[in-house]
Amino acid sequence: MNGHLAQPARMLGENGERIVASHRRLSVRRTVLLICLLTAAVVLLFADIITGPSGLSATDVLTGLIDPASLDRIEAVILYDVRLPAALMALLVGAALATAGVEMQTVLDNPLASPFTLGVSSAAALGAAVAIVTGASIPFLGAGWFVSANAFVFSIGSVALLQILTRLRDGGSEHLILFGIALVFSFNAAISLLQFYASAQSVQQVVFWMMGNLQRADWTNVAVLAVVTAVVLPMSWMASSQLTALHLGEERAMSFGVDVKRLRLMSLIRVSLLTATAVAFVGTIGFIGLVGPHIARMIIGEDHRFLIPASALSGGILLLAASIAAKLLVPDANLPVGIVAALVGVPVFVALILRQGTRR
Amino acid sequence: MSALSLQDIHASYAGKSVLDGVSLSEIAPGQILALTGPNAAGKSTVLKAIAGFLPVRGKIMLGTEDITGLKPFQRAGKISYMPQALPRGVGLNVFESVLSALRIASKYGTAVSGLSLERQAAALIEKLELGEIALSHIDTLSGGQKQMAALAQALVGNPSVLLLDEPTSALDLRHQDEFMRVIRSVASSGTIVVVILHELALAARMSDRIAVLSKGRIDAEGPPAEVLSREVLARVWGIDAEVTFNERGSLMIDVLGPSRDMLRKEIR
Repeated sequence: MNGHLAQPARMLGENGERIVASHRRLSVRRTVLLICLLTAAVVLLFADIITGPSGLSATDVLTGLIDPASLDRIEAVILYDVRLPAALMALLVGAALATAGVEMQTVLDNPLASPFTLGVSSAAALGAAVAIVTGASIPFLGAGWFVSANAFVFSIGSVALLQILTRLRDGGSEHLILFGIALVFSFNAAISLLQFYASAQSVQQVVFWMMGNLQRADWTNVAVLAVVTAVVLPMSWMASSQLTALHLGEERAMSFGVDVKRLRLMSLIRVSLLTATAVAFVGTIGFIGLVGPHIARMIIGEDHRFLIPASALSGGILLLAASIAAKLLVPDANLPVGIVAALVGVPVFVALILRQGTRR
Repeated sequence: MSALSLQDIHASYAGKSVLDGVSLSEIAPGQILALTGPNAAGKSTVLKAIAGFLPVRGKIMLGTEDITGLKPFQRAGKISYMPQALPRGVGLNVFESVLSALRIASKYGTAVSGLSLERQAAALIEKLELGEIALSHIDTLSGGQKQMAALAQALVGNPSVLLLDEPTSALDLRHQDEFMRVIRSVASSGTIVVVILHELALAARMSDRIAVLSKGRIDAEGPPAEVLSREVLARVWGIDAEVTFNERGSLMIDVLGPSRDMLRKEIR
C-alpha cells in the first residue's frame, strides 16, 4: 500500500461505495426511528390529555381541541386550564431534562451523570425551600412565582459558583464532578437545616415541592419553558458534531479541532438553563434526565445529531407515560409524577438493558 | 511542506519541571522521528507540547510559522495527536468515528474539497484498507484494529504532523510491525511523524531519526545506528548491554545487567 496514500481519492472503490451506501441506509433508519419517537410522543400527549378523573372522552377532547365552543364551561376549564397545560408541561419537562442529561453525560464523560449530578436541582430545591419557609414574595408576582423564581436563581447561581471553582483548577471533568458533588451535599445540608427550624406546615410544603408535580403547570410557565426549550434545544443540536467528537475522547476531540473548554462551558450553560427552568416549575423529577438519554442511545446510537433529538423525545415520552400511569394507577390521588416516573421508567429501562444483552 | 522544530522547550506539571530545554532540529516532511527514553523522561509531555495541550516556554516552529501560542484546536489540520489509550467507540462504528472527526476537521479547510464528507471518510478508510472493519463498532475490535481505527481518525484533515504516543504498546509483534509499516507509508506521502516507542529495535528499524529523552532533556539524537550505543543505554537506561546491528541492519540488544553506575548506586 506504499505510496498511494499521497493521492487524494477522487473515485471511491467498491468497498468505499458499499460503506457509504450502508451508512446512508443507517441514517435513513435513524430518521425513521426519530419519526416513530415523535409519533409516540404525540399519541402519548393526546392520551395524557384524555386521561383523568372527570370523564372527558377522546372524542370530546378532539372536538374540544378543534372547536373550543363545543365544550361547556367546566369541560373547557378541565381541558384548557388543567389537562392541556399539564400534558404539555410533561412533554417539555421530559424533553428539557433528557436533553440536559445527554449533554451532561457527554461533557462529563460519565454515563451516570444527569442534569442533577452537579447540584442544579439541589440548588433549586434550596431556593424553593428558602422561598417557602421565609414566606417572602416578589411584589406583583405572587407567592407561587416567587418559589419558582427563587429556585431558578439558586440553580443558575450554583452553576456560576461551580464554574468559578472549576476555573481555579484545570477545568477538567473530574474536578467538575467533585465540586458538583460537594455542592449537592452542601445544598442538601442547608435544606435540612431550614427544615429543622421551619414550621411543620412549611416542611410539608418543601417536601411536596421536591417530589415534582405537573399539577402546578399553567399557561404562563408552559410558555416560559417552551421558549427556553425552543431556544436551547437547537443550540444543543448545533453542537452535536462536537459532542460526538468529544465522546471519542477529550484529547482526540481537541486534536480534531474542538475547543473543549468552550464546548464544556457552553454545554453547562445550556444544561443549567434547561434544568433550572424545568425544575423551577415542577420541582425535582429525577430519573428522566438519567434514563431518557440511555433509552435514546439504545434505540438510535451515539451519533449526537440523532441522539440529542431522540433523547428529548424519549424524555418527553417517559414523563407523559409516567403522568398517564399516575392518573390510571391511583385515580383521584394526584400522585406526584416524580415518584411514578421512576416506578414506570425502571422496568422499561431494565427491559431495554436485558434485550440489548441478548442481542449482542 | 514545512519542517517541524523545537527550540528550548520548558514545561512543568503541578509545579514540577518536566521538560528542561528540549530542542529538536528540523524534522523534514516524510521523516519519522522516534522519541524514546526511560519512563518519566517526559516523552508524552513533548508530544503534548507539540499538540498544544500544555503551556510551554520556548519555540515550536512549523516551517516559518511559530505555533507555540496556538490553542490545540487552532493546530487542527496542521498537527494531529493520537493518545496512548486505545480508542473507545462506545456506540460508534469505525466509519462513523472517522466521519465525526472529519465533520470537525472540515471546518478548518484542510480536507479534500469537491467530495462529500461521507465520501472523504470512505476514501480514507479505503486508503488504510479498513473496509472490512469500517462498519464494526470500535469496542468489538481487536487491539490492532482499534489502533488502526484511531489512526484513521487522526488522519482526517490530512495533517502535516502526526504525533503518536506509544501506538504499539498494546499490540503484539505482528501488529506492531504492521502498524509501523502503515505509519511509514503515511510518512512517505509527506507527513512528519513523531512517535514514542519503547521497543528500541522497532524504533531503529522504522524511524529515520531517534531522539533519546532523559530527565526532561534530549540526551542523544540522530540516525538510529549512531544514537543507540552501549554508552547511551548505560547512561540513560542504566543498563549494561551489548548493542550490535546485524548484516540486515537490524538492532540487537543483549542486556547483561545493570550498568556499573547503577550497581555502584545499589551497593551504596
